[in-house]
Amino acid sequence: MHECKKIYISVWGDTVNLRELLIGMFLGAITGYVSFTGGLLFLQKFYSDLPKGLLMGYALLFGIIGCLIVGGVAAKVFKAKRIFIEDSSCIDMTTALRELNLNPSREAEYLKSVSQDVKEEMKELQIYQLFSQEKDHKEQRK
Amino acid sequence: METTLVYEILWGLGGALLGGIIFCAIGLIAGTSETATVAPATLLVIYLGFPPVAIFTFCITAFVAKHIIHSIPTALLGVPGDTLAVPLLDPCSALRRLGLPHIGLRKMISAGVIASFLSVPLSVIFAMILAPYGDIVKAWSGPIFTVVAVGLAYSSAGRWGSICMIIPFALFSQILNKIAIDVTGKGLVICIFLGIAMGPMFADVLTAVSPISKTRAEMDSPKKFWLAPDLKTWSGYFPNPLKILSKKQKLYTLYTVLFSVVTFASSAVGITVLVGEVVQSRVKSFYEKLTTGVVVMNAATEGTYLAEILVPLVAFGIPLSSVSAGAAFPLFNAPPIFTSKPIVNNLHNLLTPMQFLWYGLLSVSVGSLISYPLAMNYARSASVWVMRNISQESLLTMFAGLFVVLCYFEAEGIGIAMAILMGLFSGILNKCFGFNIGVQFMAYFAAPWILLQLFGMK
Repeated sequence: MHECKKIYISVWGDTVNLRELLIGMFLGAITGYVSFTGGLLFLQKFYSDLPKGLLMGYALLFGIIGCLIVGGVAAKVFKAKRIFIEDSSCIDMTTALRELNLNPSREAEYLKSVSQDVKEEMKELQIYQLFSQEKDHKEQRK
Repeated sequence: METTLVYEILWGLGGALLGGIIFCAIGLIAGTSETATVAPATLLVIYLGFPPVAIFTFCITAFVAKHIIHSIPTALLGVPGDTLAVPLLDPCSALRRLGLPHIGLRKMISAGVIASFLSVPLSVIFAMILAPYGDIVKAWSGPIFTVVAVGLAYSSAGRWGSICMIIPFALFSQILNKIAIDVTGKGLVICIFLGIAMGPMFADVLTAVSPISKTRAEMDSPKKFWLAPDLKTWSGYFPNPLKILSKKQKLYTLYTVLFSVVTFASSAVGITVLVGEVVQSRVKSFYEKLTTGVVVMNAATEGTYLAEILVPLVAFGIPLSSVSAGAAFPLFNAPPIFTSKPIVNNLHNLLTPMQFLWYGLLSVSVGSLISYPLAMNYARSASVWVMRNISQESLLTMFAGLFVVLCYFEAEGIGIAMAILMGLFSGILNKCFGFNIGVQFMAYFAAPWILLQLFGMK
């Protein structure tokens, strides 16, 4: 309950804590820069006979490793601010449709021209009723 | 004779297994470009003295295995496996919001595997018969990109606003390119792509840090995410990629590969965006539009990528496409062993078209057998783990780092500045005027032609 009182920010389709995001992005950018340029300096000093293309390629690997490390640390420190629900009946998927700027009645119309194999696939994924706007769906999701 | 053939096949298989296993692991690391990873490894294999067949199978299997595996960070995390995967971020993000990242991943890689198998024989046939048409297609690519950009803009949410923005956007992207050329002596590709791809994120962060607009981005509670059930339509460990795609998607995959082979001289990312946007505009229902979109885009990426290597290698032995001049360059040039100037002395002379065909198919088979079932069988469990354990902040932390590293790799400090500028411009146009990412990519590809026609700007 305490979590719900916090103010979250919507960034790139997910919820974040703005302060954590800004700290993370700043540290990520700095780490990426330092690991790439540091790797390049190291290679230039100790493997100066390498061709330039290879030198840059290996420096890129240093940079990427730096990014992976800072990403891993950030994943440990900053916990996910999303609620993951396994049971489809507990979630109102119409919110997702709204966020994706979809018109439910138009989607229901489009669905009529979809081939049977795709409809079957959608049924197995439990999203057919969401797009077809059938009554059953509303009852199930609410 | 038979002993020589067995020896050759064993070398081919060994090279393929080595490339497949190494690059199956490397593919998981988001952001790794083929030019920086596969090219140096291929050079190493050449200088170690591997026979031509093993060099070829090592390189092709490495590409195939890496491409299949790098779809995992793209589909599940929204972090591009490499720059080729950038156009797929948008549909993948919508699939994640619908709880279908694992389905997106399966569709993508199944299309990729089918496209790879189709691309090898088609590329070899094309190289032997139709290669001269490649130049004609390349000459017409500017007008084609422009027409598609206008068509897409008209069908996008921004409609007339988007159409009005094509010329200013083309001019802006070319000005950034010119500045980079003045400073570093070369144009920008990765920086512009990352800028456009991260544009909406830049716009969201700007909105959140501005006291005037902050309330629009604020939320009282975390978003709820749901994951669709597993749709395992196969028994055992090895799935059949043909059974994962719908009939329409299989047909589109075939058309896409045919088109991508013919356009081997064009940019792989450009063809990916072009094919993806055209096909998506033809499909109305949202679920089918998204899944078919990722299917054709990944098929175009794989098809064009292999065609860009095989067609110039089989037909000319000269690196005539962007991939052959970049990631696959060691197959053409690794002096003193391979050269393409002034005399062509590389795999083009050492292998016959039939060897390219059979060893190409062997490479695709080994690459797919190693990485495809792995990604298919663990797609949903990996999605659940990501949803529970990986925060958006940590992904964007890593993404910010990759952004800086890749931009600096391409054009040093000026590359970072240009990518941020492009991101801000593109993100604001996207959020405020509905000028969507697909139209922006198209406008960027059409920019040199548009500006040459309008202002004589080269």
